[in-house]
Amino acid sequence: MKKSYKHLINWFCMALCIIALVGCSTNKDGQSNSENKDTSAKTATLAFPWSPSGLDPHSGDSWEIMRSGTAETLIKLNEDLTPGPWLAKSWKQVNDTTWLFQLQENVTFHNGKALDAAAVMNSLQRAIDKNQGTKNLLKIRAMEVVSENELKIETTEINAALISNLANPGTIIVDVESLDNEVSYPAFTGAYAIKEFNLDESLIVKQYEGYWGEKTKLDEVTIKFIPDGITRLMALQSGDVDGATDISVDNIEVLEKGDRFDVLTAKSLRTHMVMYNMESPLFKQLAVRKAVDALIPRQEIVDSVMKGKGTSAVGPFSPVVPFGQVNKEQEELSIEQLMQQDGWRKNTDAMWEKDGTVFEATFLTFPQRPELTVMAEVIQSKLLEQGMKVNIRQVENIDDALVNEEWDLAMYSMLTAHTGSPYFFLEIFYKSNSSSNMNHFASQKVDSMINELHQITDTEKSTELAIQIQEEIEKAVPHSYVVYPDTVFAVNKELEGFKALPIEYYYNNANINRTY
Amino acid sequence: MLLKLKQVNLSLLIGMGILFSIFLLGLFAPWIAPHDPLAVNLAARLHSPSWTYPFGTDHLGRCILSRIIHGIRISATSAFIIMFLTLLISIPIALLSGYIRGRSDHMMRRIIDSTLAIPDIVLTIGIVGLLGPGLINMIFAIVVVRWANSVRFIRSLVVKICQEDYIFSARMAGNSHYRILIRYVLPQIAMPILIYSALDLGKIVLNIAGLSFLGLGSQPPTPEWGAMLNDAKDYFQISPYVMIFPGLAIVLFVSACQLVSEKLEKYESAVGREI
Repeated sequence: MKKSYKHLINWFCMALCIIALVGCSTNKDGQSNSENKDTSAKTATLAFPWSPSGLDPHSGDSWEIMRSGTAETLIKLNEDLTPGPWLAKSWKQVNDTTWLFQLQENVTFHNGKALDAAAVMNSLQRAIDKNQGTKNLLKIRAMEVVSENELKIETTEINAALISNLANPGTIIVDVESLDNEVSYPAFTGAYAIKEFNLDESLIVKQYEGYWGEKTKLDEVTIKFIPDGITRLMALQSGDVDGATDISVDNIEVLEKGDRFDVLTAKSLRTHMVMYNMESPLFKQLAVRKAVDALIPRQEIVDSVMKGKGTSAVGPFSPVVPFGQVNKEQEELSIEQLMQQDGWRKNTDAMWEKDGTVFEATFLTFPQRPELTVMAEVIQSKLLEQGMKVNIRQVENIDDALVNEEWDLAMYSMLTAHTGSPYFFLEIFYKSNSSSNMNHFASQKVDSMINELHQITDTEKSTELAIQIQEEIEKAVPHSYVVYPDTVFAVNKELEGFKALPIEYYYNNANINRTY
Repeated sequence: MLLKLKQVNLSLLIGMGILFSIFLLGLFAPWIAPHDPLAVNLAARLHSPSWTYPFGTDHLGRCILSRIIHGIRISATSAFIIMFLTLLISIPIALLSGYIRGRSDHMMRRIIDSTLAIPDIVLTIGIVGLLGPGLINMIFAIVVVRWANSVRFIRSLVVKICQEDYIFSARMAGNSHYRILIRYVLPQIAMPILIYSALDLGKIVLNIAGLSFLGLGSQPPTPEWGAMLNDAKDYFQISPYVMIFPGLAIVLFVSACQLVSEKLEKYESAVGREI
């Protein structure tokens, strides 16, 4: 009995060894079984900070889906931010409120279905039904299929920005029926098709062989979602990824030291800003917002935190666009005068105090853009010097936190002119009824000015009005615009075809290739 | 034997000397630190060590040496507070549990076992996560997690001592339970508790640093060693010293605690053998 028991143990150990050896074995190509890949395929791996929460293109995740290179809109913005053809081959304005779009021919969705005017209409209809923001932007009254490749769009009123707004990722064209299919991924029309999506981890896209335009040079691209800036950098250095976006400017010199990486920068349409919660007791009053705004050391931040990779901000739009040329008036009152205006008095500890309560604000920031936390710390120290205590709290999802948590100040970053028009940002951030108006700014005058902006077709006049709107908004200081940062991303030199553009949507395009 | 005792004493003195120096540095931090630990100087960010900034500057141009010195007040003081609170909770519980025994002791052991079944760090992060980041919440969470370990250790000492003949004699002589615990049990366990606490102090500092590194402890701009490491992680490739010096401060403190604990233990056993 004892002997057979010993035998059993011996056999068990031997079986374990065999399992371990098989597990570690390599195939004839020298790859371990767990990493069995087709080595002839040209692939690349990129690191992006944000993961979409799903693949619905008409939800808040449209931005991330667009950057994957799988989806397209009717209009594409060119490098100079002018609207150009994409799924819409051409368009013409029939009258003030009616537009006729000629669609590209031979376009198919990733599930093989042909793209026609009816499919585009269904997709746009869904985008409008699902997202109030998109509805407000497009102002579509009716759509009509004129022919297989012609779609007529009628707007409720004159919508001068309709064409540029159709470049907004919220209007991605998708086969609507594919969204109901729980087994497969949504069928878009881009050069890449979705192969696999792992929430918060990765999105794998593969070449779409039936693509109507120039086919991708890579067979497959894996997009890894790495929120932490330094982890993204180290993934790039270790070779885990071939390219990474939103690299901290401090670490550019590390990448430039060797000859393995190209660091690409370009002026962006992004604005880093401080948001004031206008419903918070601390920032309800204009005087306090003005005081904080005056204390932000913008130029110092550009020179040291951004190392010159950006421009000091005066308004919501970067000076890259014509409507970004606003002048900021210097505050005449001192910090003391402003604070006293709102009833604040310095206590014995040299801290501002009102009705027995010391000034203490909660300042939200997030890790995906590393420089924002540093800016928050700089602002925190400036405010503390002046007797205002600020507690910084880092949150993973800033949009959720702004809606669901209590806050007074928040760092935020936004592509403010990504459609090449001022309308998008002004509409979603400053309209009193907008769901994205997270700091509760409300002004009837601004609302009507934004409505008026819609109607103006003349570019010069619309630029002039956009500037006037910004000046009107600036009177209330709902945000403090800090810096217009440059886009910074780095790629392995083995990858070519990357181009730094002000628009951040077209990183993963068909021209990217691996040269080895 | 005398030589060995001298060696033990010397090491013990070195350990105690380091801890005492750290204590003094913390106590007189505002006079010793060369700069204001919170003063941001963007023009001097990430400067290498120099005469002006002996340990260099961090990402906001703050003096790292000054922050480390002021950090003693947070890191070491918090560790002492945590240790004190842990002992304040665990000594009475352990004394009663180990002395009375019976059903209440059985119940206490089950509570301790179930607390210790969850890994320390997971439980601490869970509690801080629920309460929200911050120094006070972190101190509370660490105390909640550490008391069980401490009770188990002290209770085992009490149980052992309560089986000694002199305790039976004391009971037979009519001493009250309270008097027995205070007069005969407590002095016997004081030295082992001191050794345990010295070792624990180092672990607590590591715990605090770990939680602050994860952003759950001290919040910016508080100069705390773990928080300094957290701040430094984004810059360690371009300015390694921003991470090295706070790291060394933690190593020095923890090593001193371990040295004191180890040598106290040896000293006690050496003295015991002498007697």
